[in-house]
Amino acid sequence: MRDGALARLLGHRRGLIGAGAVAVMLAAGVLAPVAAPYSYSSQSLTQRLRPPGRAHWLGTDGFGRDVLSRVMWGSRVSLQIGFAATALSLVVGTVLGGAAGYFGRGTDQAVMRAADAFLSVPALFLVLVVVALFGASLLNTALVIALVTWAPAARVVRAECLALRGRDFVQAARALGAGHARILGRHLLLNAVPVIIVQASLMLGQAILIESGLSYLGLGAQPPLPSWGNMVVEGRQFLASAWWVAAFPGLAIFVTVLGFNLFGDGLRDAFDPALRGAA
Amino acid sequence: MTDLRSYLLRRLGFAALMLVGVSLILFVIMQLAPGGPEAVLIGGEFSAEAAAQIRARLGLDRPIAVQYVTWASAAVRGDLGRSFKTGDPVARLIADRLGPTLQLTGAALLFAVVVAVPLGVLAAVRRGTTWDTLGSAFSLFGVSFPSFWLGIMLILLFSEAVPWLPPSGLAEYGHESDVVSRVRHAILPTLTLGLIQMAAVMRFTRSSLLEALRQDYVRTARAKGLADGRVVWRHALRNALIPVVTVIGLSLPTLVGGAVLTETVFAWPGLGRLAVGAVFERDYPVIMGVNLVVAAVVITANLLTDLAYTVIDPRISYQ
Repeated sequence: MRDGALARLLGHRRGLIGAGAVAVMLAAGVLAPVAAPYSYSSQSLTQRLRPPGRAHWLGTDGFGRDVLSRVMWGSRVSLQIGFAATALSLVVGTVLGGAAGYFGRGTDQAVMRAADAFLSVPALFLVLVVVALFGASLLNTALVIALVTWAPAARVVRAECLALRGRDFVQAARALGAGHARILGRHLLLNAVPVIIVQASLMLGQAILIESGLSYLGLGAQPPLPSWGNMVVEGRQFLASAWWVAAFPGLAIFVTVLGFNLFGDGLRDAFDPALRGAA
Repeated sequence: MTDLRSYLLRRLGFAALMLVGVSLILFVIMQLAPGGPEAVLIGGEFSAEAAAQIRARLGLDRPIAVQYVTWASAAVRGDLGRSFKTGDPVARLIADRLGPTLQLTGAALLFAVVVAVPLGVLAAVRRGTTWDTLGSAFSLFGVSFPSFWLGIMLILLFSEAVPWLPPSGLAEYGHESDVVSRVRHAILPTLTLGLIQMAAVMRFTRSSLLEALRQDYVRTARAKGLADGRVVWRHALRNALIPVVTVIGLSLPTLVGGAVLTETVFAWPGLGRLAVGAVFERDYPVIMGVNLVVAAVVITANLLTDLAYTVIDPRISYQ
């Protein structure tokens, strides 16, 4: 961490709230197998559509399954795909953006035009086609989300590398005979790590939103395995009589995404106090 | 004027290239995908001969290059083929659905801009006050909502708990030309799609106006004694709007993509729902057609956004 960045992050109230929200949702997912009060699939016809209460904190769904347990299990799917997609997207975005910023000229032109092209296609339409035709496995979904989210990451990394390229320490490294790979990897990208981390936090939120949208359309985890998106769909039919079935899984998505966004803002302010509140 | 013409020609060339790219990628994806439309069309068990027969009837047994060229040469003449499932001309299916999608996205964008720009101005001018805090909280919440859930919660509040507004459809059946019915049905989907769009526009209006307010010409305007409101609205905002227009342009693909979910939630008969139905039924001509038209709409809207710069800022011209 840069000098004092950690201290600034710890003093950043909204950033901490975001980190806390993310930590809670992560813990819920990781601990679901041991901590969930009920199984995610055990049905009980006598316990159908019970409102939130002492036995079922978040109520039960149309099959009498415990909503809290299902929300906890659902976070596993969303977070796994979120992390996988973000990792893929960052690798692609960092490599292409770094190369564009460092080499400039033709490389820059080619990468940035490709990024423009990807940014100007309505992503959800393309994602829909690929996931529907190839199947909604974790890998497929993560790959497709990465395919439509790498462009903003590439832009951010490129801008950072362009700014760093002309700095003295880069000139010095070149004068000492460092090759392209070493300058780009050790000097430019390592210095771009803060912006990449900030981007990662914001992208996690995006990836989770896209994943939940896909599973809402029926292109995510298949029942009885719960995902936040398919729980909202199932709750839709009971909206008038049992609001909690649709409300809580959606709330879980909202809290998770908001958490990542707040945390990302906190990180940005911590790494670069000059930008505080600017964007 | 000739400058503008050559700029337009260049942009149209790029647009055509994009459309060819999108259609090629889709063609390859559909070729590589396991399974095919025959499984959906027959349903249940079927023999290899039956599948081959259907593939031959749909023209899927030909080499992919031949298929693409046949499709593309018809597409440039406006013929997008016929739906595998219903046999209807794809162009007509799309024409029926384009109107509702344009209405929904257009109204959502209008709503977002009309509400977000003044809110962004308020947050920037009253920087650091409760207004500013409320504004940033609002925009942060906006980008964190899953749109389908927001839609369902609006239905819960305004159709179920308090039965004010209809939860689905374009209008009551048989009343599609009744304006009151159309407007009442449009309110919830427009709000859903618009609220999420609003957040980004507001955030940018605020930061861009803060930047503009720091400039020398703003100090000059203040120094010569102009009223505060005039400085903000006439001098600073006009310059701050350029990045805002950029953001609106950049957010168009998200807006149109968001229509897929919003249309599904509200049973809105637009292109998004047509696309969802088509991918589940492997209706290749419909998938191709919808994606092509959607890409064309977004590219056109982006071009219009770029032309809007010249109106906002006379210093910008295209050469």
